[in-house]
Amino acid sequence: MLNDVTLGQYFPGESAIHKLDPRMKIIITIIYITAIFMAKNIYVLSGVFAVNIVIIALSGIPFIIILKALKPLAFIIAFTFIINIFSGEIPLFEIGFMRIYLDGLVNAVFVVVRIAGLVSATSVFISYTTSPAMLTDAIERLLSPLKKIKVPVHEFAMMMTLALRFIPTLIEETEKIINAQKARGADFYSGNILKRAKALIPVLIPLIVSAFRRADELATSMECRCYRVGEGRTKMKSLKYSAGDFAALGLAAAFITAIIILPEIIGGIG
Amino acid sequence: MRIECKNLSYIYGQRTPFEKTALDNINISIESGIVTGLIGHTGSGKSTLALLICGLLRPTSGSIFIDGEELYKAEKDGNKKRRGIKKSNRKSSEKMKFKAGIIFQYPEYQLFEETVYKDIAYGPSNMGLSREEIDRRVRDAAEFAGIDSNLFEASPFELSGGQRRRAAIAGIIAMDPPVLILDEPAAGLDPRGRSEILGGLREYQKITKKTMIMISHSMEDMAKYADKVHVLKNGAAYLYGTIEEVFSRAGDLKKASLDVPQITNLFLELGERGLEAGCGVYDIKKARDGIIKLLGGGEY
Ligand SMILES: Nc1ncnc2c1ncn2[C@@H]1O[C@H](COP(=O)(O)OP(=O)(O)O)[C@@H](O)[C@H]1O
Ligand SMILES: [Mg+2]
Repeated sequence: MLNDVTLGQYFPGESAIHKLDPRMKIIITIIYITAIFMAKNIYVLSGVFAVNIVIIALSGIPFIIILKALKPLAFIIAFTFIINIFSGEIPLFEIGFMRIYLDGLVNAVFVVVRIAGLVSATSVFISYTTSPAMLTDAIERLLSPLKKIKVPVHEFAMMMTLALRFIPTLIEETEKIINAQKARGADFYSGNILKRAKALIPVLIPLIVSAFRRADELATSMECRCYRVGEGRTKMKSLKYSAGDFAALGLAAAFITAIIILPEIIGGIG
Repeated sequence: MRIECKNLSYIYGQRTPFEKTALDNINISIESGIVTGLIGHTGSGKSTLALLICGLLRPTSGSIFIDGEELYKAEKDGNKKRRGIKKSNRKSSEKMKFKAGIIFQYPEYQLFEETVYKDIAYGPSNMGLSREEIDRRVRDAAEFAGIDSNLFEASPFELSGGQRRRAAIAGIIAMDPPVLILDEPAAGLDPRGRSEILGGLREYQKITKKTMIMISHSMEDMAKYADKVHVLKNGAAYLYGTIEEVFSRAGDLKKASLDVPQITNLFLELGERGLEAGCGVYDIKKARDGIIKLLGGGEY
């Protein structure tokens, strides 16, 4: 039941995408998303989409997993598609009293490709190939200029790291407590809402107690190792850009330039 | 109650990249009225098997029979007919409800009520028993587990670690299940705490003649408390027999990454060097007899 929770869905691997510096991945993702929205022309959009497929293939994440990431959006995608095809100026054909428009259809395809591209690119670049620890590290580094105006970036990053670190632990713990209470005859599935909510108490109380216990133990062990916030903290694994990162950034820059310039050259097709 | 597993398999996270076969086509039976040990290296599938027997997990394939009656049978038939799945599903999990009680590792984490008394009474009241019956069971279970009645009105969170664990154990015993599964309930205790908890539960089994499954990764515990032992290795059934039979195959045990008692090791090495003193030596008494035999002595 709790196995469906997908958070920190990191798929360990050795692909070129995995090896990119997480900061660079965030930057490239932003460039890519911009590209998706700059593509105003069907040929350019297919180019953007083809790049997306190449990225997925490079990352070694099975396509089926990407489709799963899109599944929660299936309704929105279908809905926008249908809304779009019924509005436009160039009629294509009629089904009964409904009229489908050519430009509407083109718009619909655009929207669908954009949503699919947006979600699949961010999940490939960020959720699937970057471990949560690397991600928070990268966010901290990218936001570190904000430290100058007294934003506690490090503290936020540490909280995020700890939260992410403990999600799987708490899920596992919840499963164990549910099993223990089920074995004592707890029934979570029958009765009205009130009764079901009450049935959760035997799970929630031990869970809260154990979360506090863990937090306490963690705080003690961090203090024992002299953890403190402030100037001069160094990292065990400090992020370093490699040649590959700059190559990737170069490619991304070339890509977005091409997307801006190409339509001008081809001129008004589509 | 006799428990039989036929071609039983369980896979965690099936059809995901994290797929993990925890139990692979297991055929074993657990005899009625004795303590059956379940031993194996960490990750060998002991806990998974326990959850399956309690009906807390559903087999990926294969079946479990309790006194000849198959768990989830109604549902399997329902699937064949493609009708009434929901209804029969509920029935088959009901069937196992309250038959097997399980004491988990760190059982104290399941305490939640305001008072110790209410917590011990939680299981029995879910069984729909009468007030008097619940009261009787709570008192008996508490007495057995060594919880004094003047602690009844205390909050379980005020108790000491040891008392909390006893209170949690009392909560399971109060349900009086015909099958009692112990999934390393003495984890994290010192040797004295271990023998108090495990010895106490073994004593309880002797009096009640319940079917008991005792999970551990310590051969010493098995030698002390179990009648028969199943050894699991990487999710497969590996060895089965009485304590003597299993210990006599210490070489095979080592292959399953299990540590045999020091004394067994000593006698194994003596055997390798040509001093055959009989196999399956796992306690001082047997060692004494073995040495006497080696020295050519008779009965004392
Ligand atoms: N909830 C779970 N999700 C995924 N894998 C699990 C889960 N529980 C156990 N496993 C895996 O199944 C195997 C058997 O685990 P378990 O039955 O707990 O072994 P044991 O109790 O003998 O240590 C292990 O490899 C473990 O990693
Ligand atoms: Mg276990």
